Amino acid sequence: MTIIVGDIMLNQWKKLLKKVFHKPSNTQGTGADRGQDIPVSADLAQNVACLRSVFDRCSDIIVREFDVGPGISLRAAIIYVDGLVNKKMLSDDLVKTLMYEAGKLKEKASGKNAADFFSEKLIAFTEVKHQRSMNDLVDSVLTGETILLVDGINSGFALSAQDWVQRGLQEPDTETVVKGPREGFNENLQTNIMLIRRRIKSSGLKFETVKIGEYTKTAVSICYLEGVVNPKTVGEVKKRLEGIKVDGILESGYIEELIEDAPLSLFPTVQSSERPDKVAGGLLEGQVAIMVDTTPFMLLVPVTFPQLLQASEDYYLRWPFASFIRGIRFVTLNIALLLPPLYIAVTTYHQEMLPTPLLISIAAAREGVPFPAFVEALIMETTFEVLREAGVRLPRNIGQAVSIVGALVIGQSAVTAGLVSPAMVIVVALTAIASFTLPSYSGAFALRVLRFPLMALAAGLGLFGIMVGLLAVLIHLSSLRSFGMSYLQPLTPTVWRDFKDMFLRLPWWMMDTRPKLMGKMNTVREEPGQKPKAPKRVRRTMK
Amino acid sequence: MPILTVGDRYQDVWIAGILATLMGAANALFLSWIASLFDGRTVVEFLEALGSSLLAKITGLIFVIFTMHVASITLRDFGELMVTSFYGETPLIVFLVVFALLTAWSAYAGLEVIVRAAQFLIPLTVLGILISSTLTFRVDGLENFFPLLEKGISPVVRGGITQWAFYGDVAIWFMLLPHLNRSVRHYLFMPLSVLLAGGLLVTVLLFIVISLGARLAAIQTYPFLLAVETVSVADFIERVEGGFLIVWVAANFIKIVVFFYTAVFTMGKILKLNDYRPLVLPLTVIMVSLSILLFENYDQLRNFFRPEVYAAYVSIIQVFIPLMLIVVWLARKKRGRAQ
Amino acid sequence: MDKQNFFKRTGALRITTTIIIIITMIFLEGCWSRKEIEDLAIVSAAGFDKIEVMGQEKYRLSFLVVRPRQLGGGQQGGGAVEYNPDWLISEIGDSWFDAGRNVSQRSPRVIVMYHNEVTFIGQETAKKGINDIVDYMQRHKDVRLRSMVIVAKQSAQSIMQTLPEVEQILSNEVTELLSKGNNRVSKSYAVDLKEFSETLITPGQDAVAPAIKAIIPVESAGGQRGAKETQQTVILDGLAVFKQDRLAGYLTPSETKGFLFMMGKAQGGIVPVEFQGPEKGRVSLSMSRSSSEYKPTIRNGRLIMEINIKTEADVVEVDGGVPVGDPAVIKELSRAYSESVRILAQASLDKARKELKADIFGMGIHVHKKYPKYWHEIEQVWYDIYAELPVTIKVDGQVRRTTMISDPLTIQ
Repeated sequence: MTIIVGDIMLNQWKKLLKKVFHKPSNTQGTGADRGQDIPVSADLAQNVACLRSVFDRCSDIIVREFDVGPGISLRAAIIYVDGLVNKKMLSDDLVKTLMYEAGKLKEKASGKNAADFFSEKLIAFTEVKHQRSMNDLVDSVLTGETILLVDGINSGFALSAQDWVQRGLQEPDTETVVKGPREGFNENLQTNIMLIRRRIKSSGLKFETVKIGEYTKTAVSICYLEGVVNPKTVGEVKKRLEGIKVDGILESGYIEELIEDAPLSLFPTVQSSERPDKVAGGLLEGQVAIMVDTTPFMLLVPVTFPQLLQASEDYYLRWPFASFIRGIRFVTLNIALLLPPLYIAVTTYHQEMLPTPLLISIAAAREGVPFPAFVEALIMETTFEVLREAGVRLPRNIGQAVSIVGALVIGQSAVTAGLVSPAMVIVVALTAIASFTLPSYSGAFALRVLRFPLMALAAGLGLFGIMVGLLAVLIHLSSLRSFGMSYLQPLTPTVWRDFKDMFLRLPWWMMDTRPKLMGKMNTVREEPGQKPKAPKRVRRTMK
Repeated sequence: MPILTVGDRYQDVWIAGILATLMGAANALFLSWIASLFDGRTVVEFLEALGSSLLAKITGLIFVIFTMHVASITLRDFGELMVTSFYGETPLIVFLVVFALLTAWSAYAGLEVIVRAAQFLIPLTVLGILISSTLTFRVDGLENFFPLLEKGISPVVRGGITQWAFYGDVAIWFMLLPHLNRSVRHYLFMPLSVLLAGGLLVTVLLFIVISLGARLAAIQTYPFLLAVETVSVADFIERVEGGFLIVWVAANFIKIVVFFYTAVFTMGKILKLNDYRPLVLPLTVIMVSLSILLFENYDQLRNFFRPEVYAAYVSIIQVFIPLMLIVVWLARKKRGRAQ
Repeated sequence: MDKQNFFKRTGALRITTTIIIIITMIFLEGCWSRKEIEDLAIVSAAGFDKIEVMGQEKYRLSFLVVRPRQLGGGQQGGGAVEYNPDWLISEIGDSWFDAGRNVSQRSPRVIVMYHNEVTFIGQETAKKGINDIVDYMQRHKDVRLRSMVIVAKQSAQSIMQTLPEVEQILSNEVTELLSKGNNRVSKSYAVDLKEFSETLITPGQDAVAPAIKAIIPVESAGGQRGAKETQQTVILDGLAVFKQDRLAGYLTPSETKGFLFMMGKAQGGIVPVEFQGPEKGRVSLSMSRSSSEYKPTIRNGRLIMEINIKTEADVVEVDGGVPVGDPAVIKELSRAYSESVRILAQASLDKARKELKADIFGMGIHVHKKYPKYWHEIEQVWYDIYAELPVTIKVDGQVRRTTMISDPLTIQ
C-alpha cells in the first residue's frame, strides 16, 4: 500500500512539491572563497598577502618564504596544507635545492622564460602545473598540492607532493568472500583508481574526474571501459552529475540519491560496492562506475534487480557450486520477503492449507499467547530490527553482549513467559538469517522494509492480500528503469541469452556474451568453443 | 474460465475444448487479417481515416462497453470465488475494490508496464496450472473419458460454441495495435495466442475429468479448485489450494487489467484526449459498480455464460464488427476506384 | 483553463483519499474472515445421526474436536486438569447445518471442519438415505473431498464415544486402521468423500463404505492388563453397501475380501488353501496383488458378463508337510488358490446380487462404456438385468514364492 501511495504521490504531487520547495537557482557563487578571480601577479609579496588573506585564520595552511640561493637574491614562497603533503620531500627536494643549488647553475633565468626555467631545471617533481589564476592556486592548495611562488614570475607552480594518512587496503566488511581477492577500496580516490587500473590494463579504461560540492569539492571520477560501455549511459551519467549543485558530498550515498531514477522507490536503482573486483567486473559488463573520493563505496550504473542478487564470489567458485548458491539465494529472497506474511496469512485465514499435525502443533504453541499472530509478528520483527540496529551502532565488543541478550532474553524468555509462540520465533529467526544472505545491502534493505506492508496486507486479507501486495510490487518493479535499462531485465523484457547469468551461473566458457543493452557496443565476451578438454592420451610409439 | 465451462454434463468436454480452440484460432486468423488492414492504427482511427467518424465513435463505444462489461464480469466472478471458497465472512466489495484499485494503478502505469508484468506472470500462471493439473492425475481416472461421444456430436458442438466465445477476447487487439512491436506485425500472434490459451484450457479440462469425473465436476461451482483439493502425492504434497489461489489471482489480474486498459484507452481515443489517464478513476468506479449491479446472484452470472447468451453477445464484437469493417472498407475502396 | 491539469490534480486527491479509506477499512474492520489459530475448534471427526426427539425427527451432529494443548505441543499446560486429547460434542438441530451451528452454543471456539478426516454415518441414518449428508459435505466449503466416509454399525455418536488405543485421537486411529492396517488384511476398504459421491451419482454403480463397530476388547474385559474399567474401542467390520443412497446391508469381512478381488483392489491378506495332494495340509497364501477385468458381451441379444481376475500370492505358512518346494505342487497350489479366490468372489457377488440387490462392482459402468446405446435402453431396468445376469468369474492365480524356506520342516 505504501508503494501505491508513494508512486501515485510521486507522479501527482511532483509539480506541487516543486512549487512549494522551488527556489531561484543561485547556488553558484555562494562559496566563501570563490571571490572575484584575479591573476597571479609578478610581485611575490602581493601574491603572498593575497593568499594570506584568503587563508586567514586557517592554522593548517603553512606559508613559508625563503631566498633562492646561493648568490642570487630572489624571494620565493611555498604554501601547503599541513598534513596533506610529504614534508620531507618538500624540504629535501624543493627547499634545499632552491636554497643551496639554484645559484650554482651556469645559466640564469631571464625575465620572460623564468617560469619554464624553473620548472625545467630546478623543480625536481614529476607533476608540475602552472597556475595563473589566484582561484586555481587556492584550489590547488586545498586539494593538497604545494604551491611554489617565485618573485617576478606571474604564475604559481602547483607541485604534487600529496601524502596523507590513509587506511590500508582491508577486506571490506559489507561484502566478504571465502574465495577471491581480499582487498577493498579505501577512502582515497587515487588508491581506488589504482586498484581498478591494476585489474584492467587497457587504454580503453577511462577515468573522467569532476569536482562536486561547493565547499567539499569532492573529486568524483566517472569510470568506464570505452568500446564496451554504451556511450549513452556515460552521457547520461555525466548529465546527471553535472546537475548536482550541493554544498557538499561526504559519501557516495549523496550522489546516489541525487542521480537515481526512482527517488521514491524502495528499490535501489544504483548499485554500490566496496570491492574493486566487483567494480571491475561491472565495467567489463558495460556498467559505469562512479568513484567518489573520501569513501570506499563506489557506485555502479545501470543496475537491474537480478544483478542485486549476484555476489562477486559467484564468479570465482566453480560453476555448479555458484549456481547452487544462486538457487539458495532465490529461496532466501523469498523467505526474507514472504515468510512472516505467509505465516500470518496461513495461521489467521487459511488454516485449511496446513497439514493437520502442523496445524495442531502451531495451535498448541499459540495457546495462551496474548497477541494475535499479526501483532506477535510485528513485535518480533521490530525487536529483531532493533537488535540489528543496536548491533551495528554499538562498539563491536558490546555488540556481542547485545546479541546474547537478544537471543536469550527475547528468544528464550519470551517463549517461556508465553508472550510469543515458539513457531513465531522460528519464523522470525529464519527470516533474519535469510535476509543476511542477500549480497546487496540496499536490496536487502528494500525487502526488509517491504516485509512490513506485506505483513499488514496478510493480516488484513490473507493470501489474497499478499498476492495484491506482490502484484503491486511487480507493477512497480516493471515500471522502474535504471539509466535506460529495464529494472527486471532479463526477466522482462525477456533476453534469453542473459539467463546464463541469472538463476544459474553457467561456466565461463559458456558466458560468451555480455548482457544485452549494458554491453551493447561490444557484445562478444570471449572466443567460442573454449570448453576445456582433457588432451587425448598419446600412445607412445616405438621407434 | 474452467469454472464455467465444465457446466456441460458430459465427459467429452475436452473435445469441445479442442473444437473451440480450432474455431477460435480460425476466427482469430480472420480477425488478424482485418487487423492487418489497419496499418498500425486502432480500429477507431481506421474508421475515421475511412471517413466515417460517426461509425468510428459507435464502434469505439461498443468496444468500451464490451471491455468494461467483460472486465466487470471477470472481477465479479473472481470476487465470488474468493468469497465462496476462501473468505466466507468477508464482504464481496472488499475484493472488488482492492482489486479494482490495483487495476487502476496498473492502467495508470501504462501498457508497457502491464505487458512487462504480464510477461512475468503468464509463465508463472501457466506453470502453476500445469503443475497443479499434473498433480491431480490418477490412473483410474483415465476411464472417465469413456464412452466417447456418448450423446453424439451435438452437445460437443454446443459446448464448443460456448468456449469459442471466450476466444473472442483477441478482438481487443483492434484497439491495442499501435502499441505492438513492428517485428510481430504479421499478426500471426493472434491465432497463436488462441492456440496456446486453448491448449491450456484443454489440459485443465482433461485433468478435471480425470480427477473428478464429468458427473461430479458438473455439480461443482469450481471444479478445478475441487480437483486441486484432491491432490495428495505421497501423503506429503497435500492441501495445495494456496497455490491455486495465487495462480488464480495472477491470471484474473492480467485479464481484468488488459480489458480495463483497453476500455480506458478506447474511451480516450473516442474523446480525442492526449492522455487517457484522467479517465482511469471514473471508469474504475464504474467497473466496480457494474460488477456489483450486473448480477443479483451467482446463478445469474453462471447463466450468462450459456451458449445462447454469451456466444450471441460475443459475436457482436467477434463477428459483426469485423464484417462491418470489411463492408465499409470495400465500399470505400470501390468509391475510391470509381473516382 | 488547463483541463488536463485540473483532472490530474483532482484525480490525485481522489486516489489518495480512496486509498486512505481502503487502508483504514482494512485495518479497522479487516477481521471479517480472520480467525486466530487458537480460536479454532479443529474438528477431527464428525458423526451424523438422525434421532427421534418427542416424536419428531431431528438431526444430531457430533464432532470430535482436537484439544491442541493435550496433544503435546504446549509446555505450559502444567497444573491444568488432564483432558482427553479430543473432545466429543454433539448438538441437535432441524437440519445438519443447523445442528452444526448449534454446537457453537457450547463450543467457545469456532468450529472448523477442514481437518475433518473421518465422517461417521449412523446405521439407522444411513438406512433412511444419505443424500442430505453428502450434499451438506459437498456444499460446505470447509469439508474436504479427501475425508473418509465410514458407516457405524451403531449410532455414529456411540462410535465416537470410544477411546483410541494407540493413537492419541480417534480420527487418527481410524484413518490409520483404514489406510495402513487394511492393506495387510483386505477385509475393509477405505472410501473418501470424493469416491463415495462419485459412486453415488454414477449410474451403474452403487456405493460402498467401510463399516465400523464399537467393541469391548476381550483382552481387557476380565479386568486384566490393569484396565481401570472396561472401555470400548473400535474395530473395522466389513463393508456397508448402499443401494441408491440407502444402506442396504453389509458384506462380512470375508465377503469384503471377495469384493476387493472382484474390484482388483485386493493388495494383501491371507487366503488359506486346503491342499488335496498326496500330502494333505493347509497352506496359507499371502496375496500380494490382484487385478480384474470386466468383459460384457451381447450374445444372441443377451448380455453376459465375464470377469477375469489375476492375482499373485506367496506361501507364508505350511501346515501338514506339503512339499511346496516342488514345482508341480506349486502348480497345483496355484490352481487351488485360484479356486479359493473364485469362491470368495462368487460369494460376494451372490450376496450383492441376491440379498442386497446392489451393483457395487460397477458392472453397469462397464456395460455403459462398452455399449452406450444398449445401456440407454436398459438403464431403467438395469437392476433386474443385473440380478439375472450370467456372470462367469475366471481366476488366474499364481503362487510366486515360498519365501524364506522352501520345503517345510521335516520333523524326525
